[in-house]
Amino acid sequence: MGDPFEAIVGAEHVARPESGELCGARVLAVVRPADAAEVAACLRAATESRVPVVPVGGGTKLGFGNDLDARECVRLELGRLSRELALDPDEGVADVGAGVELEPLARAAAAVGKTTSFEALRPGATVGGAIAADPVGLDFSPDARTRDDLLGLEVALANGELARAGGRVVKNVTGFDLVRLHCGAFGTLGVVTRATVRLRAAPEAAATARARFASFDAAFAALAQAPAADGTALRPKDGGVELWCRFRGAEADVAGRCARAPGERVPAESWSELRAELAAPPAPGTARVRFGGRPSDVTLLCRALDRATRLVLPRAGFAFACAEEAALPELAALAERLGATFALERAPGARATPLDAFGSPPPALALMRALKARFDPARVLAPGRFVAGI
Amino acid sequence: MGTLPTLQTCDRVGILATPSDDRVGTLPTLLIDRLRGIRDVAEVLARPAELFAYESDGLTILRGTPSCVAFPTTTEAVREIVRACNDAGVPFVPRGAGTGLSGGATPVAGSVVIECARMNRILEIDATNRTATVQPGLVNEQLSAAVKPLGLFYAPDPSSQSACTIGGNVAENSGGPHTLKYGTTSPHVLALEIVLPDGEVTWLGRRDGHAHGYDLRGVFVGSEGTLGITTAVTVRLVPLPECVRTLLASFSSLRAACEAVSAIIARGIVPAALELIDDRTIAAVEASVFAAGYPSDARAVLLVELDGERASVERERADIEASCRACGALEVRVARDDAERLALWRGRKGAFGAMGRLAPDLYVHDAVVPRTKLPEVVDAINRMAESRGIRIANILHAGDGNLHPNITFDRRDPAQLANVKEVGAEILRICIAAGGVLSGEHGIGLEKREHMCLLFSEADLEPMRWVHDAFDPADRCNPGKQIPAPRACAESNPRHRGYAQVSF
Repeated sequence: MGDPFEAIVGAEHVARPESGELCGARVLAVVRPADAAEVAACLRAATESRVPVVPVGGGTKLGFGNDLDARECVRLELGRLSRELALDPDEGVADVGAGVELEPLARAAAAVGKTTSFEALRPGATVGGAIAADPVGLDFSPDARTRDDLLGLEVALANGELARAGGRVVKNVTGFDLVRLHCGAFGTLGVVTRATVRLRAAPEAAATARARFASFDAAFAALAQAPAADGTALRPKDGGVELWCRFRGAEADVAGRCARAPGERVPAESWSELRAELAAPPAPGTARVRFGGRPSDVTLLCRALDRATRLVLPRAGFAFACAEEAALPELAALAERLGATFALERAPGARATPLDAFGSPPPALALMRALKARFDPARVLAPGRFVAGI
Repeated sequence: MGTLPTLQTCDRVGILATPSDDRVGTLPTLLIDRLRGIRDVAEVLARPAELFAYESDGLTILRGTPSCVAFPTTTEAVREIVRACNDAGVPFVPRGAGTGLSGGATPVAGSVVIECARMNRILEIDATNRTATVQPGLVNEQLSAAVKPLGLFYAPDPSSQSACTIGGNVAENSGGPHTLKYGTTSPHVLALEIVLPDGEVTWLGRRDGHAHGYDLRGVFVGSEGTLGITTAVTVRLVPLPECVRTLLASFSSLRAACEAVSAIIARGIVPAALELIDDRTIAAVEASVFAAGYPSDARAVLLVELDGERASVERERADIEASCRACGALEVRVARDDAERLALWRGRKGAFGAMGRLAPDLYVHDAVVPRTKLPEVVDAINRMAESRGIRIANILHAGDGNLHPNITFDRRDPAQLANVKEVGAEILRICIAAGGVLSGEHGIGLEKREHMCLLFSEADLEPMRWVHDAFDPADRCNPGKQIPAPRACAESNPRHRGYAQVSF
């Protein structure tokens, strides 16, 4: 085991840990390809030898998803695909390697007055990881989702080919939209090696208002009267509930809207402090559950979750709760009952239970399985990690 | 490469019996009788004179005659039609209003056209969550009209929005002038009910937009009716902006207008729309019923729309005026009221119709290049076309880098038709060499199917075939569209032919 990978990336870029586990499987080798061609060659080798591969960027999302349905795997680390970070601010696009970390990308974009739709929740998170996991952060907006701002991808496929999808322009209906297919697919259809992302103008100003209420119901009532904000959050605090409204845009608008929002204006960095609620991994023995629904469903979710609620993004339609492993089936049942989505993040190193990390299967599961069978017939791309064990 | 594919050259069209086949008399008759017996099929057209109108979509140079056109009114009826077609081994082609411009709804010879125009009801409007669920045959503009009293609108606005349907928009991932700010159809579609090619009904996505699993909704939108038939769509609605301002700026050259576009974007402004119209289009519009008062002495005009909060809009309006004047604008005019604003848009949205008066046929081309490349690309296209005796009239969604070079011609003249096809192919080569793509909003259909090889390698196309195979293994749903057959690219890929290598 390992020889084909050494031949591809060089022995110095293959490690064989004495012990080591990844997504419930024993790590046979840690392989660090240098570029997209090596990633593709590794996948071909994996397919030929029927060895499951788990692509890893910064490793910050490994608590999401299911365990592998394999006992052994290769950990394919993409950190060396970080050399390409090319911004074209006039055109409004950036070409980035999958191993580029989100924080340097954000700094490079800010230096030219731009921003991207990626939100760096944890240090070390990479572009490839953010595309594969498509996480929900504090800045989640239905108007600017990661998948909507991904213009093009280069993807290494299980058959060892490198395929491109999309392009470098902001408007493109040339063939099936495979960019969206790979976004959020947990690397189970291919490994993203490179992306072209849209750069948007950085907002001129940002302002955040915070108000305190006795209950979720009171906070929701106040929110209904609040001016349009591009970020809203509710957080239980000190026996009450905080309502946060974040405004971004032109200075004059932002100041005006913030002044009309409930509560008082707080320092801009407070919003980043709130992000820590989502950024911190769950405590040992617990898991963070994300419920998703329509904005009107979130009110019901909060009532049902009661004190388990940790954070709510009311206009985005998400509620987060923390719970011990034993309580998870009950929360999954609650999601089912309310028609909400359910996704959980386990604490680092925690072993999965039979409970699917994505809740009940989606209606088009048969189609998803059919896609997986065609993209990855040998089932070597993170098998079992995704929805319903795909 | 070099010529547009014709129905005669479509490799998968021949799966049906040809008119000389002995079976052709009985098979369609039995099938048509079965279709007529399906509950909630309002009508089945089968007489040649009735079928004539369904032989093409908006790309009239490609035609095919179906065996019949069925008009379902419910999901169950679509499902039964699909099952009947499968039992008979006959392909089927979904169709909305037939306003598409790439041949996506051109019937495969002998197929059953499933015309969704009578599935035109609004099923639910959820103002609280800003969504609407509609049947696929609802006309785009009617949705915005219906939700306007609630302070909402449906953002994607193709030029044909007074006729085209939401289902057709889903199939083509349609854009429109306001795509610059609001995006094409895909980001506005939350969930889809579809009838799969095997007759099963399923939902893709969720009406809250938070579906887990592969984004099949995203793959289906823009799949041109090749992966199944949309029977219901849940879309996002957007709050009506507090303030809308529309400006018209005229320029003495197209290059100056393009420079103004770059200057506006460089200021960090994202207008709701940023349209560029050249002098030939202006002349056509002003000579038509769509006359909008565009300055006849200008070589190009920019139509810019801003929407949002009043203070912000007014400040951006001032910035845009300054940018246009700095780029040498001859005149900058701001619509003073809604009537003036609508008049300016009437000219733009009626431009294709205005050009259609100039000749029997109009070829509305569609390609995208990086926005900063627009001036040189438009120059190159105009020079190339003129060298072949064709004068092009340009309309550009300039903020997106989306070009619509328009060619008027008479398809009854074979020499003209051949020349137009060659010019169309050359336009694509120019755009791809500049780092562009084949289509921004019209799709691939039959028009550009073989040209896919200019942009994509076999390795790039193969995953698209896997997707198609997962949805439609029998290849019965709108067959032969969008994705070229395997190995079709072997001789035409730019990497093999020495065209400029694009970076993506």
